[in-house]
Amino acid sequence: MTILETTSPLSDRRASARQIWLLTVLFGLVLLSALSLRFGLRPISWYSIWESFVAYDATNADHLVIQGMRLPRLMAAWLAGGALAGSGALIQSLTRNPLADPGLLGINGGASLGVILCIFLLGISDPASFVWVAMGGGLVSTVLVFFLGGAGRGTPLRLILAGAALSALFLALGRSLLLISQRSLDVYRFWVLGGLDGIEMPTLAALLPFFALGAALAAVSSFNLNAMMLGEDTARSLGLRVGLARGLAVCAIVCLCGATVSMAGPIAFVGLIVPHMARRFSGADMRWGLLFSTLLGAGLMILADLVGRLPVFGGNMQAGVMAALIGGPALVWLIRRNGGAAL
Amino acid sequence: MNAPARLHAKALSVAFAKTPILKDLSADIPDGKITVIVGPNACGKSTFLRSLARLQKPDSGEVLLDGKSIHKQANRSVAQRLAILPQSPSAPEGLTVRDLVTRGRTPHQSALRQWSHQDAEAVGRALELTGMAPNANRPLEALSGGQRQRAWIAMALAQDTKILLLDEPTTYLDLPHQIELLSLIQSLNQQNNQTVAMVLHDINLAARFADHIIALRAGAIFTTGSPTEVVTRNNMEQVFELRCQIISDPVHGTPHVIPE
Repeated sequence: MTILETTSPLSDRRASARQIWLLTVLFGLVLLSALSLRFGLRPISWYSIWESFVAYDATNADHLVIQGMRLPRLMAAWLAGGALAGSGALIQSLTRNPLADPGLLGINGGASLGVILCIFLLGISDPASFVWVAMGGGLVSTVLVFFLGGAGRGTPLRLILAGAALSALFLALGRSLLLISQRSLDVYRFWVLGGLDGIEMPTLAALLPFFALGAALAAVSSFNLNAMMLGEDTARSLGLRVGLARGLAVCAIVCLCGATVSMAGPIAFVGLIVPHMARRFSGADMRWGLLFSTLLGAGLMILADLVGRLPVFGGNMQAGVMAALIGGPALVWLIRRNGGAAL
Repeated sequence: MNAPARLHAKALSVAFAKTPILKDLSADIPDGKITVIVGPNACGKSTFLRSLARLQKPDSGEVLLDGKSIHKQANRSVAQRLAILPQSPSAPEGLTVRDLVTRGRTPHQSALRQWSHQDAEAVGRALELTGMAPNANRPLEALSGGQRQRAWIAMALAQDTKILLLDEPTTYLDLPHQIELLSLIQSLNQQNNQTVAMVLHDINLAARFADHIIALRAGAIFTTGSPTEVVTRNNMEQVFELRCQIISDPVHGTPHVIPE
């Protein structure tokens, strides 16, 4: 990947520190992934895990659990965490607002309303059918927000305000529907908590193109955003087409977050917090910021999902909730250690 | 008249909320010279400079860069020939001088081809020329105002353009740092034969460092020419409404304004 092969003109010390951190984070991710396959309600031996990959036996219960449940779940955690944190890094840089969250573009609000309408009007209660409704709802609301926000010509503030207003509107509409329909609430409750339960390979495969496209657009955007973070005038004078660059970044966020919300429900917090953690390793370079955010976000989701499966939490705490439970204190610790300077 | 200047404004008009800022303004930015745009507050100096740099779209008229309208050329291709340093630019926290200067290479790169030998050379040269090499790895917020402004100029230099536009580069600097910065710009102009156009508030500094002065009044050109032609008692009174005496700067021989 170009991002990795780029030799930036950094002082050697800083560049090598970054690479050591990168290796450390990658190692941590591999370790977490392995643990995530190993542990759960039913502990499975390392040997069975290995066997399920090299000599799959459909009559072996361990193999079924690994390949049918834990592996898709692990991949979903990778994708969801990486996508949310990566797009969080993009939107914070795009709006030059450290408190921006990918949900600000109205994706979550639109997706939620889509799902509620689907339950309420069509009486559908199978989570698998929510995928495309949520995707559609998120897409529609982001397009609305983007154009209300000036279609790339407005200020970042206008974009945020448009997003906040529309999100609030969609959430209020959704809630008023839930108030009048108890049955909808029961179905919606599980979706909205954000979880990785029951995600299967076909769903992942269907959403993979969106994640891939989002990742490619995000990589291009990270290069653009390096210029954009110097201000609009400077970016333009550096030869950037600012409106187009904004549009590309928003497309990246829509692909990544739309796919995530339709797969795992609206997961807050990861997109807000992880980019701040990543900045400690990446410095002010968005290309590294995106890379570290993606990896750390994936790590946080896998960890949250793993911890959420521990018997202490009844064996099934939603990963989205758990991510906030773990990420919150971690961020407080980061702030206290640095006096907030790194944020 | 020689060959036409590479950068030329043709009948520019700009209005903000129906208030005209520039009125039918035409001017050349002479190649290889230092042009300083002067005029009283709110006369449209910055708007003129921003229009020259395609940051401000004119309501009518056009800016010609190398004979073609600047707004009809690819932004990237313009950025390879013309750099502008906007007024008081801002950078995110933690950005080091080298990071910033590296961003100046953006128009020569793309998302797929991000770093080359030429980029490294241009960044190194810009850091050397501005004397910022020893501070290259320090974050911008740790620098003094003068150093920070040099870092931004280094970014514009790394862009490696023949034309450099600066919007009030001496704002917030004390007099010694103003002189230091303008001397740096002068040496860049002399060594690299770079065309410079900048907005300055201080008419005496303009007279000392400019080869060519454009004096604006109320959105139109009042007069243009060499410092001795422009900085006269009569012009000062009409452009700035300032009654003054003009003496010859005893050190540099340039005109010097003494307000009455």
